[in-house]
Amino acid sequence: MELDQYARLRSPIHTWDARWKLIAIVPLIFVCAAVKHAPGLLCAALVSSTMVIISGLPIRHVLKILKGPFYFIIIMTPVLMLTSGGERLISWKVVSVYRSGLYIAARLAIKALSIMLLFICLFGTARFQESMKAMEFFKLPPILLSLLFFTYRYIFLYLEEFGKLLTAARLRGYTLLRGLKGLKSTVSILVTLLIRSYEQSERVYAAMRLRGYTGAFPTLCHFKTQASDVLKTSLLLSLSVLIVYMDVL
Amino acid sequence: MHISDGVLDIKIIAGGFTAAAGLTALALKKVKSDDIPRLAVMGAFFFVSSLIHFKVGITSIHLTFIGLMGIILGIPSILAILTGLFFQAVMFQHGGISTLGVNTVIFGLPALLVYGAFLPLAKRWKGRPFCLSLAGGILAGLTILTAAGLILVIIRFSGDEFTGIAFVFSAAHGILALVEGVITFFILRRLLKIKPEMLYAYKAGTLESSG
Repeated sequence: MELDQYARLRSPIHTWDARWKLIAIVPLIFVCAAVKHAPGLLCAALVSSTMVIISGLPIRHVLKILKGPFYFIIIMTPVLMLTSGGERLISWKVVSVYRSGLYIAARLAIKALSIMLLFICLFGTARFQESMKAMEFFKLPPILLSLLFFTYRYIFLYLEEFGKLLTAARLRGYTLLRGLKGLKSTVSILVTLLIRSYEQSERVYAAMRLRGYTGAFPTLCHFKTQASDVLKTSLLLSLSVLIVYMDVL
Repeated sequence: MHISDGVLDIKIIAGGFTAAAGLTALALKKVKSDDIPRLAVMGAFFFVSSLIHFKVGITSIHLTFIGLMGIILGIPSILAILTGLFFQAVMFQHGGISTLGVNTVIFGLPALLVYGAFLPLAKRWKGRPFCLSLAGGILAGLTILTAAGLILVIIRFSGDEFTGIAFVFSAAHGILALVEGVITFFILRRLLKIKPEMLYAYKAGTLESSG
């Protein structure tokens, strides 16, 4: 589940300076969100898939990440076909199936999957600290950066703690959210989780302050721009412009 | 409960990021570096609570605790919501990256409203934990309905094609509002008994009344 599980691979996307990667991929994400017509959508899908192929990330890992949007699209498609309106494909009593629903679902699928693929390339090909450092370079407030970093750490602590509490509750015969008995155990687990993590975070923060933490974001990574970074960024920005051009054409 | 990538028009996405930037700037003004652990813990709690699903008919919905976030954190809850949503989008693909701004507004505004409503109640009902917990639970339930309403309005503004589906999904949130209201009531009862200092809105309200 870690974001940067495959950050140590070597590929043109992995060796790309994280700052330049942000400059290139973030506008492309918004271009993918903006495209409306088939040529633009196909170009967006092509560019994002090519990026993931070049990155050399294991296909199983990418598919695992895409599972979420994929299920969402599977659920959305029939509902969209029944509710979108427009030209009817089939009509039975008050229920109608609309052709436009299918087109909207396909558009939604391409946009959502393209954006997710680009995001995998952005955060899955650099260590989390490196991505944070790149964001710091673009003047993201230090408090927000520290918050992102701490939250990322606490998510894993919470998940571990939550798993332990759940196992302990199950061993005593309790389950989550099934009837009133389940509600009682759910509340107990959540309150324990909240208080334990809150107290633990205060202790960790006090220890960090004692070791000289001042809110700054120290990492060992140092950026150095190379000609290839500028080239890759220019290429991707040009492709973004091309996608917009194909979409409005 | 989140709006996914690909659903919204680019103008709405831009508006969402602008509004979220405004809310974030407001929250950043209220935050000191000492608050970071508290915010991070709540951001992670917001993230993990989305993993608690329960079945409603053929579908399942998950808890959000937006109301509880507003009561525990106050105005800075926006920051915890923003980071929680970011990680939900990148680690579990709940919501989206391009819709991060809009989703922050959908969850953040109701959290602020709950904080604003809870503050005078904490002042008035100091020493009456049952009444306060009940009010908190009701407010938390209303928060879900407000968020569902915001989703409907935003999707309606973005175009007609998703209006039907937005109505279908918003209707399911009536049940979530009820469940979340009841759970928040019980959590607040316990917290007010064990660790009331954790609730910023309670602390601010009672300090105001004693000062």
